[in-house]
Amino acid sequence: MIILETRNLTKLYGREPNMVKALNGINLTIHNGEFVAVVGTSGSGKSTLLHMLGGLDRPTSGHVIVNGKEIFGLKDNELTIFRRRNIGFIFQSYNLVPVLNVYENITLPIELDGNNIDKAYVDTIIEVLGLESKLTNLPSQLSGGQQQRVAIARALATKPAIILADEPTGNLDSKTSQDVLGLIKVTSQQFNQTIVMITHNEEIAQLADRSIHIEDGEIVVGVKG
Amino acid sequence: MIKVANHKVINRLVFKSFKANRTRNWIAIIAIALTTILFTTLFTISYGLVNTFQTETMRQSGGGAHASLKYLSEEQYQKLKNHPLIKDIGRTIFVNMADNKEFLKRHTEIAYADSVAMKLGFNTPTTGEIPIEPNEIIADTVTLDLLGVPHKIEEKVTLEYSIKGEKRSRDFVVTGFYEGDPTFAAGLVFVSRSFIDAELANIEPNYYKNFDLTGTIRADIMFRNSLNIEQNIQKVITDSGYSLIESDANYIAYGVNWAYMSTNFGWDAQTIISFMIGAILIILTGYLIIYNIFQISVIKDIRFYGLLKTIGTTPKQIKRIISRQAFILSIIGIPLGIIIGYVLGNTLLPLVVNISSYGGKTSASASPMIFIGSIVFSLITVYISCRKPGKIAASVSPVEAVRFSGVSLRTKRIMKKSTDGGKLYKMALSNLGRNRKRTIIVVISMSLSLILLNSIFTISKGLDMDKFVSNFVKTDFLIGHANYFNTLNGFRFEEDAISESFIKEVSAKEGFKDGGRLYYNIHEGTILDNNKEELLQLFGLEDFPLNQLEIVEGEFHIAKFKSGKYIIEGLSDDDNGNIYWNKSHYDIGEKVKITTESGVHEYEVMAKTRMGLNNHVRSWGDYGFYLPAKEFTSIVLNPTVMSYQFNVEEIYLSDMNAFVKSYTENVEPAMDYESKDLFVGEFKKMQNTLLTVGGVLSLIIGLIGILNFINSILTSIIARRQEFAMLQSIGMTDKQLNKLLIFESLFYALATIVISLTFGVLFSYFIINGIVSNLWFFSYSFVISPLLLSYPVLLIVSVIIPFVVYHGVNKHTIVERLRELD
Repeated sequence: MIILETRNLTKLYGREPNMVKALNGINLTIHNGEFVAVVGTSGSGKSTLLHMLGGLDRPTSGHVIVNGKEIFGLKDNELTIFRRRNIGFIFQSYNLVPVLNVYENITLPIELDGNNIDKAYVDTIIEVLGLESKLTNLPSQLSGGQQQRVAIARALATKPAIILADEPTGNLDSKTSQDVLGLIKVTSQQFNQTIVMITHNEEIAQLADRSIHIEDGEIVVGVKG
Repeated sequence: MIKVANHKVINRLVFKSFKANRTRNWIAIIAIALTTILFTTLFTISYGLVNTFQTETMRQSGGGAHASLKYLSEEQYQKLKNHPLIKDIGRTIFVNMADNKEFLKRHTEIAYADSVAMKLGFNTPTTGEIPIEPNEIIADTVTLDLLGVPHKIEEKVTLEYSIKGEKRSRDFVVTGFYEGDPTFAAGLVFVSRSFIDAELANIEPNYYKNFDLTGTIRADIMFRNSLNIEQNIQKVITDSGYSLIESDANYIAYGVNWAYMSTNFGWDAQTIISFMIGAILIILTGYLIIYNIFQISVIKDIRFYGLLKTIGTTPKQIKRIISRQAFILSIIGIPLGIIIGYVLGNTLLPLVVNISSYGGKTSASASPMIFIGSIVFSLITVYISCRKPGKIAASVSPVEAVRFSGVSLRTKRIMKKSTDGGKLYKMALSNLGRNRKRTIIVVISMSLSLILLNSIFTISKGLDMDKFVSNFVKTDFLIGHANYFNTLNGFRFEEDAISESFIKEVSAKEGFKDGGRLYYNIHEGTILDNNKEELLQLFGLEDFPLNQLEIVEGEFHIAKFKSGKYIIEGLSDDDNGNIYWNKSHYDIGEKVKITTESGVHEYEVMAKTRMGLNNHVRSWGDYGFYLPAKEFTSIVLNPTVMSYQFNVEEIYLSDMNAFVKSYTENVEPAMDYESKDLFVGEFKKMQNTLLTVGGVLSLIIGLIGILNFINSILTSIIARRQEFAMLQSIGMTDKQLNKLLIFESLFYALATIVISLTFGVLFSYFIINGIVSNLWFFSYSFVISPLLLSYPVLLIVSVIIPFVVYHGVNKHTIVERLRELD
């Protein structure tokens, strides 16, 4: 089943003659439960692609279809709500809310949605990520790896169909990176989630089911996927 | 210490950091300007008050000169005038008294004065020019009134005078005039120099030989400052070869202006304390905002300072970067504040003068001290405000600075037990805790103006009109000579009596109900107390004022009293209306013996009455007694009518007020009056002044509070742009984000409400009720409505500000803001 699809996705910045083609007609299909790595050098357009997939930014032209729904047909507010119900984000710099403790950070998206917390589910995530003993800590008291695990838990909390991860291990040492990636993989399998991860690191990309290489805003075909 | 030429690079850093903080700069400039406005207003009003008092005292004492030399000849004047101690000297040459019959009651002098003397004597014509031709004069308006001449230049007057016993009469043309004071005992007419040259030629004055003033010179002298005036003037005399001993042939008489007798006069304890309280309040207000601005700005730029430190900037240099920025902001903010503050101060000054005890015409001060003081105080405020932020920036560890997340570095908090912090309002509350100091300061800053506002209303509401008015007048009108009402001059002579024509005029007016004269014995009278002769203040009252007496002991039968065998003892009271019983000398029924010019008389004390402004001569003695007018006039030779009390039908009150006002201004300017209406007006004026001055002050402090609030919200929104982007990316809608910010600022408002309500009530109850209630015309009543009315406004503002600020700042898309991070 196709969960995520882009059609001729294009994003242009600026005007001629200084126009930058951040994305130039990307066509992409991702199936349910896949773990896809998007690989590219900095400036290749991979972050822009991720932002488009998550509906954070609107394309110049083209479509993004999530779960059969064209997301840019939604109004801003609807898009936000759609995003928080269907997509989980993991950022390189964790981006935890500094005034909330670990548990509150994890459940924040659920609270934002005004839903009751599925206690059993959240507890499972916490257990899988090994955060039980840290629940009342504030983010500033955690190590980078711990913070990223909280960010992962937060991304999973709303049971999104898709997780978008932007260089999730960019700020971590290699040992911790391995752990975090392992956890992302385990949880996605356990909760049947689709993962799109951006990285510039080929080695990390190896962990994914499939890699998509991007250069100058275009998918480079022919490399091992 | 090694001197390193690093000024250039520091300046460059200051400049760059300055340019990067445009919004902060604007807010800081406004804050510094507002603080300076407060200081300048305070200084302008204080100096204006003192100046008004000084000028008023000088007017009373006859001029602004430090000292004068009297009865000089031309030769003496020439020898004395160049003494090095003298800064300015003015010459007045006397001609003589004017002999016109119009001046019978008010002595009028004819003299010549040079421009310096005119200025020092406040005689410079406000309309027209100084006289030049021999037939030209200037005069004060009261003198013109007495001569029956309209206040116009080119009017013709005839003056009669004598020179060396030879009577002369001459026609003059008025070339100018200035406002005269009808309560002054003497008038002045100034002639030209050419008149003196023609008329007084060949006259060699010698005052000590013939005591003839004609041709004598008075020199009015200003020294460089008002210290040691007496020694200076003595030195001028002796240095020039003259004597200070009256019996010497070369004696020169001098006078020191008593207006300068006390070096610091005007700055009495009360003025100084009020001034200090004002200054401290302003420093506090200014500190609250300027400190907050710099603290926030330093924390925002903490990475920048950490970076500077990493590359080798010393803490001292970092402090210098911050203090120099503050200084540059001051250079723009302070002059702005001084200009606005000076204008504002001089606008408010007349109001303050009006209700102050000094009274009189307002004389604004342009003393350099106002500007120097405002600058110094503002700079001090700025300096102490940016010291601590400078220290924070200087002491930051480079490593910490990079990790800085906006959560207070010193927070000991590791754990947070709650599980529902994701609820918007809880998150908002947590966000306020990020920079607790900032939050507290903003709340204090806003509470301050609200508490002040409430206090001002409490005081103004507490001013009791009935207490105030009844202290001054018991009847609708009290009329008399201007000197009777003027405490500085006082009711002392027969000339100070109220004119019968005035009494006749008012009693003939429509609506006049009833009235009566109050006589006073201005000649010495005594009363026997314990076999000792004591000075007696004896009053004689006609029926109407007799009926107005408030009997505090004994029984008063007017028919019996008027038999002439009885007397009433007057007792004074304090401001709160408590009678000084211990000052009573006699018992009811006791016989008293009083002595007047006509001999000894014996009366029986029938009752005791309250003495007040309505029935007293207003210079207080220990023995005040009241007789019926008939008895009084029979035992006192030349009885003088001190005042006249009367009541008017209600509907004619305003007519009578208008009549009396215009009569005392135009027909008999030496007469004056007090009326209920006048004091009601006076009272309202005082109340309005309090509200205006206090309101303006609260408004400015309130503006500072709001500015502090805006700055706080603005900087916190800017600092959290990425955090907001992240929140939005994990599913926070714009609406939720707005709600979060509005919650945050509503918490500020709620905290302000709690603080201002608590402290406002405490302050009102303990401080105002405790201290201000001692004012005799104050009845404390609890006032809270200004606070309750301000709260909705505060709440509305706190909803609008984050909304406007957020939409003004967050124009970038989520992605752009997320990117700023790396």
